[in-house]
Amino acid sequence: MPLRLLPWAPEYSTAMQFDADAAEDDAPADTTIEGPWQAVALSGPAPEAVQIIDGVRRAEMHAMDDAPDGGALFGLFGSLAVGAVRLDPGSARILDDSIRLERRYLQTGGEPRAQVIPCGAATLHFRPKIPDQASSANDLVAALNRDMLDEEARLAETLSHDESVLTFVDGPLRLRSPGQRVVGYIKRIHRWYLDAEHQLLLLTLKPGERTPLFRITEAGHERTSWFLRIADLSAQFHPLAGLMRLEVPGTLPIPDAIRLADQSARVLPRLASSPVRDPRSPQNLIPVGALESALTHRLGDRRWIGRLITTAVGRGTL
Amino acid sequence: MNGHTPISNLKDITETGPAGLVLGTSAEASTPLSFSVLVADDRYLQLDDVVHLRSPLPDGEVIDVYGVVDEVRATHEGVSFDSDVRLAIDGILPVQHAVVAHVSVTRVEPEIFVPPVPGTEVHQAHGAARDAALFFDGMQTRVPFGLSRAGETIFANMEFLDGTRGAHVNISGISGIATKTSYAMFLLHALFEGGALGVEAANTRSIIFNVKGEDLLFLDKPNARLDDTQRTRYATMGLPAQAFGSVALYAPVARGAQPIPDTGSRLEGVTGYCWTLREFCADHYLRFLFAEADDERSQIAYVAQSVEAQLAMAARLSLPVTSATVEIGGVRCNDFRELVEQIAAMTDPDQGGTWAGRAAPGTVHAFLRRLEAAAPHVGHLVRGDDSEDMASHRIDWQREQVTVVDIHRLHDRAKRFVVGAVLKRMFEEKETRGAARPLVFVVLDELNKYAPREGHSPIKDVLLDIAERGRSLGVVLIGAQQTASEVEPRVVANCAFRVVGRLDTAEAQRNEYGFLTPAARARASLLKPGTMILHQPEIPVPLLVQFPFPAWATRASEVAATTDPFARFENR
Repeated sequence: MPLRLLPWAPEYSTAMQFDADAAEDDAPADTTIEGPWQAVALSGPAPEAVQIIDGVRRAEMHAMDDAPDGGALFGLFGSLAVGAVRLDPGSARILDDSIRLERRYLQTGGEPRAQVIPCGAATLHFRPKIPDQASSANDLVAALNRDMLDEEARLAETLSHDESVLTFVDGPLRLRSPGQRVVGYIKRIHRWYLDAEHQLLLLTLKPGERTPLFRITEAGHERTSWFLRIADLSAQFHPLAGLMRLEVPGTLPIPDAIRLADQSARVLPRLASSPVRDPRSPQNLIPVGALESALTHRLGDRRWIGRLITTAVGRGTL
Repeated sequence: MNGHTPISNLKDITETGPAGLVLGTSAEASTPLSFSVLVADDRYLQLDDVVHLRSPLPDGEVIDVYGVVDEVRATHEGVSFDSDVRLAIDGILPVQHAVVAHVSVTRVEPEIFVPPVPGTEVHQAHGAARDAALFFDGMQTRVPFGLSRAGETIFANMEFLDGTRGAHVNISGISGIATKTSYAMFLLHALFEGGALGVEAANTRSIIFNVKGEDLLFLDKPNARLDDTQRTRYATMGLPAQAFGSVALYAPVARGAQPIPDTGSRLEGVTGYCWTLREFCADHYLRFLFAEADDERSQIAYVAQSVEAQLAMAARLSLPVTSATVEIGGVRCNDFRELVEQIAAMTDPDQGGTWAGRAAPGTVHAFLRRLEAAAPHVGHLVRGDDSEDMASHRIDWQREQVTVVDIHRLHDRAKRFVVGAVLKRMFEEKETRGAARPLVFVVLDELNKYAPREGHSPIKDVLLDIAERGRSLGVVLIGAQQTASEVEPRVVANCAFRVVGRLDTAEAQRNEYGFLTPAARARASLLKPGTMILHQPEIPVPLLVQFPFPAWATRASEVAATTDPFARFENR
């Protein structure tokens, strides 16, 4: 294949990251659970209603403090918000009740205190927390991200119990007790799980077509997954860049998994974003992009919050 | 002093809940003179709605801010591309509606000009709050000038109409659509019947020149097409839905020996008007035959002036004084033709005439040519017929409350002559009387013809006189024209009330309409018949007013068939 581009804006890296296959010791994917390895003919109608859960997080300010033992401690003021968007025929809306906004003050040790910052008529509460295994400033950012994923999972847990809708959750499924109609969608593909021979099918999928289901086992955790082409990119882009990987819990019976996979294939291509709209097109779906901007908006103005923190710390009121 | 009483009873205006909240984005920043309102989801604000808010000051004082909605915008929030609307209605892109109304502040009490604090609740103003917003609460005597689109009365301050603090109304708009004359008639009706004139109403007079069609010749007839909806609209303003009660109709006499009125569809009750040769000479009417603009600058006006003086002298010397005729240079003139001939004989230096004094022969000939040219158009209106009772053909503007002078069939020269002669006499009579009250209202359309922007003419002088001194003499001009830009600026500038109906788009952009806000200018080209934009001195924003369908007939077909043939007599 000649040289092809990847559509994501470089500051977001790429939709495909062939991480060193750290889990090569895992069993290879079982590609035999749904018929022959070829594009699947879809059955059944598109779901009536869909909800998608996503979150945003932002590191507001990094800080440093003295550790009791004389060393240095890193601190991080961070904000995160999660929410859901619901699509019904002819209407798309952000579920206002679903939005959860959290502010955290993370510290690599010591005894972090709650940071309460006055902000006009309101107050910003940064809840203190010492994340596990965090020793650097970057670890704190990762911890903030984990907190966001936890919040997403918590919200997904609640929302996915409404089984009249198909619920999509951002990222690999981390739910403890998911509902019967919840699908994890992975924007950024870290691993293919498939061997080179099976990957060939990915190149020939047409928009809206999916691979058969395959079962993956990671750290003893079973999931049922499939690839779906959500967009037909123009010739200058690599065909693999139009794919999305989706998964459901391994415990879900195969016929149910097939139904969800077919429904996802009916609905997602319609939601794929175009490069003019989103720097992470096509994987960052249109409603998700809108949800992310709404959530980011709820976090408040970044420079302003930064200045409030600076002022509060400068006055020594914290 | 200014009549503002703080709204103590907020219950009235808060019952329906706030209509919205003051916005605070930098693009829609709140300022002391205008602000934007995010309209509540379950409410709407439309153009011309009157709103009220109370904004706190740091010292605990509260200011009342009133305003009028002059723009409303609806947006999808959170969209960046035009095509997003498609995604939104397809149910793919979540969006939020936002409706934002822009408000022009009309009043701040107390006068502390600070911007309303963003987030302040904005209420739609009704009752006392609306009266305060539009300064109706401070008007000693108020006249209904129409209805808002919401059906509430819009008042004008009588003090700005009766000369106390101002006078005159000017109406602009495209003929046929702007309903200028209808609005002027509505204003007269409101003035006479609305109670603003008090006991003087009965003695207040008006002179109306009917310049187009015969629509004003049926003012005294009820309109058969008036329905109950329209009657209710009159009732809302406290006005009776009835025709004008006291009307005198004058039409020019027809050519020919008999001075019978020359009208089309209406003959009954119409008086034919004309002047006697004696009046023409004694009252200095000659000038109105040279009423085309620019004549003043030339020597012709000088010649006309000297001839006028000679004619006045001749009229004084002609005997008997009761006769309609005059004797000039020993020759008795029995009609206008003869008068013109005699003027020529006395003026033309070639015939030994001396009336023109030292004017160059060329000028005198130009004068005579114009006089000759005017004669066929005006001649039948100036008569020397002693056998007729000429007094009965004189326009007596004091006889009835409303005097309609029909000029629509006359040649332009004759129109100018009639308007000039009638107004000159009325003005002189008012001057002689010395009392401003009772008032006289003069309704004149096509002002651009009589007081054009360029040049000078005797009629323009009369109108300028009315515009500038009428206020103190009790003469109120309700003038109208298609385009205010073509009218003498001083005539328009002296008008306390400016009204526009449908305007030509290009015309609306001219400086003469500086009182219109940009939004009002845009709307002026969309106004439907029966809708006007009114600017009055006390209210800083122009208001949209609607007026009801005429309660009087405007054409023969609208005249209501009276079942009782004697009904008219009982009314008298």
